[in-house]
Amino acid sequence: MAATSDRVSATSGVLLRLRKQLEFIQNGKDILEMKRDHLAAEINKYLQTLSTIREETEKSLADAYEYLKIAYSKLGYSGLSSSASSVSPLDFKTSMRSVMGVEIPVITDFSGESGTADFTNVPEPTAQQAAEKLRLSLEKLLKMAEVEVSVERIATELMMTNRKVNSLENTVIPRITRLITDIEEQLEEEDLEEFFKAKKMRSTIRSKGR
Amino acid sequence: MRSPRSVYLVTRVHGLRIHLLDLDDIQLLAKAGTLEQIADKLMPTEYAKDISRPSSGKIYASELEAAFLKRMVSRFFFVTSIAYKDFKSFVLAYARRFEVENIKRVIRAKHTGEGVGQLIPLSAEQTSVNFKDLLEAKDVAEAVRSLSKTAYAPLAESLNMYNEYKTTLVLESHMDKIYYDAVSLGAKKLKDRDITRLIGMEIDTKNLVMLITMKDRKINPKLVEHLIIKNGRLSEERLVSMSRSGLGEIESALKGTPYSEAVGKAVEALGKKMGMYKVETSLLRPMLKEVKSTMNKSLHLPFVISYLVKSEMEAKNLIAITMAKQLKLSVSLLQDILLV
Repeated sequence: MAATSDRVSATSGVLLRLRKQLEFIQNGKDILEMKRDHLAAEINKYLQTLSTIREETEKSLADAYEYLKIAYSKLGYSGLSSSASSVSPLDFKTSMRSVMGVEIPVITDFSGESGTADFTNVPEPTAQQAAEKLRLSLEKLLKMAEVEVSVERIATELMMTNRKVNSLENTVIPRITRLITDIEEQLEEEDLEEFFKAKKMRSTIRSKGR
Repeated sequence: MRSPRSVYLVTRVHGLRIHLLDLDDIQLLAKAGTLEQIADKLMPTEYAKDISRPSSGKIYASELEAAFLKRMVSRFFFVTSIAYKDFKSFVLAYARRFEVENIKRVIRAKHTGEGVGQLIPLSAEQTSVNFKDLLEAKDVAEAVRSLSKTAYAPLAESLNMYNEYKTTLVLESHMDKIYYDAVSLGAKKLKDRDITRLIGMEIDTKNLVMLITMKDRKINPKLVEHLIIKNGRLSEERLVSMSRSGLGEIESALKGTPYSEAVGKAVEALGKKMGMYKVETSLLRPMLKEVKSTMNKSLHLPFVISYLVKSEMEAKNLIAITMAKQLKLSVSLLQDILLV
């Protein structure tokens, strides 16, 4: 029995198994390509919004900081600290969304269970205004974090998928294809050898009969 | 005819007035580059006793703030110590504003369970409240109950409303009502029209700031109505009706009053989405004008009240200047915040 360079027995059974394996791998590669395209589309969508969100967040933070400085100047450190103590720390909830098996965070409720983003309690108008501006900034900051984490996770998955596709395309599939070709050639050779053997035997038998 | 004691008090306060920083001093401090420069400029003044320069030379605005508040409180209580009879009772009631502010700070912290933070420095003689018990209270209800043996005992009546609206604004406004009731009563006993007007204007200013900013914050009108403080120059009915109407209607309802122009400017600032500090500063103008004119009646008791108002304004201005310097707030914005 002949063997290929990959030490696989060159039999019809192996050939059949390899062909099935190749078909399976081809299908897998197609699916991975689809996943790659989908992830790339998703990352593009996020990247388009990321620069806008970053710009908005920076602007909003600068604005909030200005109002905070005014509130500190107007009320003093102790006055503003006291106004701030009338509001519970801000809270938010996150849930997970799956994009082609990649878990990405989604911020669902910024106010938290007790509705802590309500600043009715803040007694000083200047402090209340600064608090509102800061809340908006924090919301934007969280949105930015949500998008950045999503981009990071999708990018990692995209890289891994791409690597898998490339490996299938450039290493696994060519190797199996080559193996199949080798086995096919060997089997063909064996068939031809068998044919000649039979032909030679037939002619020997015929010449002895004469 | 004025009593010798009244003449003595006014004369003493004239002496005290010299220690107040004038407008030029405030502007000079506002233009200073650093907190250290501010501290140096304050060294030849009364504040030298309260400002200490650490060996590192680095000064923080919060340390200066504590010094300014300490000086303000001592100025108030020095006047109470030299005042007499009904005027002493009135000034004592007036000086309770720091105690009221401290109680409010404790209540706010108890509401959320946060730390109380810094209080206005008051000695045991300068307050009628046992702050130790108040600070040890587990929650707002316990804090309010700890005030049962003080002038703030009626605060317990607002606990139901506090639980209904879940806001300490209810308790804070009740504190203000108790405070201004006592101050107005003291002012009435003095039978001095200027003092009554000054206190009335202070209450009006507080009410107008509350009404206009609450309107902008779209707070429940029923709650806003409850936050109105009585005893001002504007009648309660007028204020209640304003609490139910829009900003434009408030402006027209105040035509012909000393607040007309200020409210117009405040509403305009709100319309242009300017900072709340602009709204507050605009609304404070009529009162500041009144204080200035009372300061000119230098031989009468209202001069003493004007001195106290000016002392408080000075502390607020110095706090604003030092905070603005530490946080690198622009000079133009600082000028808008200053009460001059």
